[in-house]
Amino acid sequence: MLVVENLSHAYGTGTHRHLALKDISFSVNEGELVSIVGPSGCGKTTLLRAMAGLMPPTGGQIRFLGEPITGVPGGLAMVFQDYRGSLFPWLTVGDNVRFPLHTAKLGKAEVAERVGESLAAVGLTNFEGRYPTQLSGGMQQRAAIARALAYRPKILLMDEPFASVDAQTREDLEDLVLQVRDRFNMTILFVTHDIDESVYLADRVVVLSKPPTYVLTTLDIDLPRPRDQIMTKELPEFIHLRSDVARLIRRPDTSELAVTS
Amino acid sequence: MLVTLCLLQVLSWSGLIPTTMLPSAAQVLADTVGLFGNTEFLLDVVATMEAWAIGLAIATAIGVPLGLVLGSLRVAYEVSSVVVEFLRPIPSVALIPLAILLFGQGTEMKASLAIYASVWPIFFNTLYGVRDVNPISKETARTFRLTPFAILRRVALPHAAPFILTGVRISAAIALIVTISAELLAGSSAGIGAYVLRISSGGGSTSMVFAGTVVAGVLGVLVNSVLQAAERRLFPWKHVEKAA
Ligand SMILES: Nc1ncnc2c1ncn2[C@@H]1O[C@H](COP(=O)(O)OP(=O)(O)OP(=O)(O)O)[C@@H](O)[C@H]1O
Ligand SMILES: [Mg+2]
Repeated sequence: MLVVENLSHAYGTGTHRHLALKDISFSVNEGELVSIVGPSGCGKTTLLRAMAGLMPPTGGQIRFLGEPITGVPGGLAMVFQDYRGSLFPWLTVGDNVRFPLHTAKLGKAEVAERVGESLAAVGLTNFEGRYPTQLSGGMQQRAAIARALAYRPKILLMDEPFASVDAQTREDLEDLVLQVRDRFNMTILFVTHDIDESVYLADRVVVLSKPPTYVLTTLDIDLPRPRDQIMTKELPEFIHLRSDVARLIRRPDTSELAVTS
Repeated sequence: MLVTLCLLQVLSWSGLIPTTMLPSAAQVLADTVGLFGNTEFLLDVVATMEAWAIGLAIATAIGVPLGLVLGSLRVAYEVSSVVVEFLRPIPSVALIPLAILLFGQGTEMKASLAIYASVWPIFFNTLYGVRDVNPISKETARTFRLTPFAILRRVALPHAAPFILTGVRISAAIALIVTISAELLAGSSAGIGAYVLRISSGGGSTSMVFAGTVVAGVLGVLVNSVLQAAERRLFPWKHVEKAA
């Protein structure tokens, strides 16, 4: 569904040139939940922005549903790390969720239905009339997720969406992602620097190196579903997988042997 | 204004200055009330308000779209900033002779000066408001495939709206001052400024002149509070209690 081929990106030119992404290739199949994990500053946001068509990469190609990405394609939604900037403060939660439906030619009833359904899916039904600033950080990110759901994308890109909420809220939100994925049959690409989070959520984990960034490895995650914050995380397979990813990110040269499974 | 009135009253009690030169506050207030029954004066107020309202409306109609466009296009801003920096420091009173030549002594002249003076705060506040939009807000809108124009209308404009209204509020006061000054300096036939000029040159009482000034001040305060009330109504999200 989404294919990234030899993607590279450099910021600046001449002596200021900074090669953020060196060589990235991977793909996301329909219905998959793929996480991308990599150290801070390795170019995860750069990668997502290129995939969303917000910025042309300096090298390589991205294809979405067979078409090369040149601008923002239809059927793609993004949940940003910075929910404060992403939600519109002048709109109520309900109007924020309604925002992307303006361009789709939908009837009033269908818009209302989608908004209601999306808010219910993230547990914000009673907060439709509130303004974003009246909600906690976790609730604001839920609202941003609801807005993406209402848009009914074919693929949902999430850029470290839970990096700035507390640990408990974060676990709740991770489970929320798994729930909405099942409920809406979504294809999700989830970017994070949190190793546990990447393994816990995904069918597949793409592990990125330090910059200049390339793909260290791609791991299949065969943990049973439905996943559970406590039970899944105490499974020996989970512990193995998270250790493999951690070793790869810390010492990419010496640890390659550990992941030959 | 209240302070000025108190000062007047104290001075007149002190007897330092003869009341023909400086009237007592009580006298000024009495004359002010009297003015509201004076049809001729009310027509002057209408004339001033008309030029003021036309000036402010046109200044808004010019300043807001210009600020929106120049605020969102970096190139356009840089090209035009030279022109803007040249025009901005010219005081509007310096343009009175030119305005008289072009438009005579009536409403057009007053309104054109009011436009010139009041377009700047509206323009700059709009510009800064548009520039202040969080880039993530714009990217969010882009991922939902809004056109650049739709982003301007649905993201930049609502974000800039409170800035714009503040600009209009500042400009409202400026436009009123400029309108009345123009009436005084250009010798207009109607308006609060024209009234003050008639009374003072016709040997009328100082108290009546002061009363005219008081009315102008009251108008300014009134307009300001109406716009402030509008701010609270139009932008409720600015006034909600924030979560921690
Ligand atoms: N607009 C830009 N201009 C120049 N350099 C940039 C720009 N955006 C990002 N970079 C640089 O590119 C590198 C990758 O940035 P990016 O934000 O993609 O990383 P990230 O993995 O998302 O980081 P984080 O984990 O902090 O979110 C960083 O070194 C950053 O400083
Ligand atoms: Mg990032």
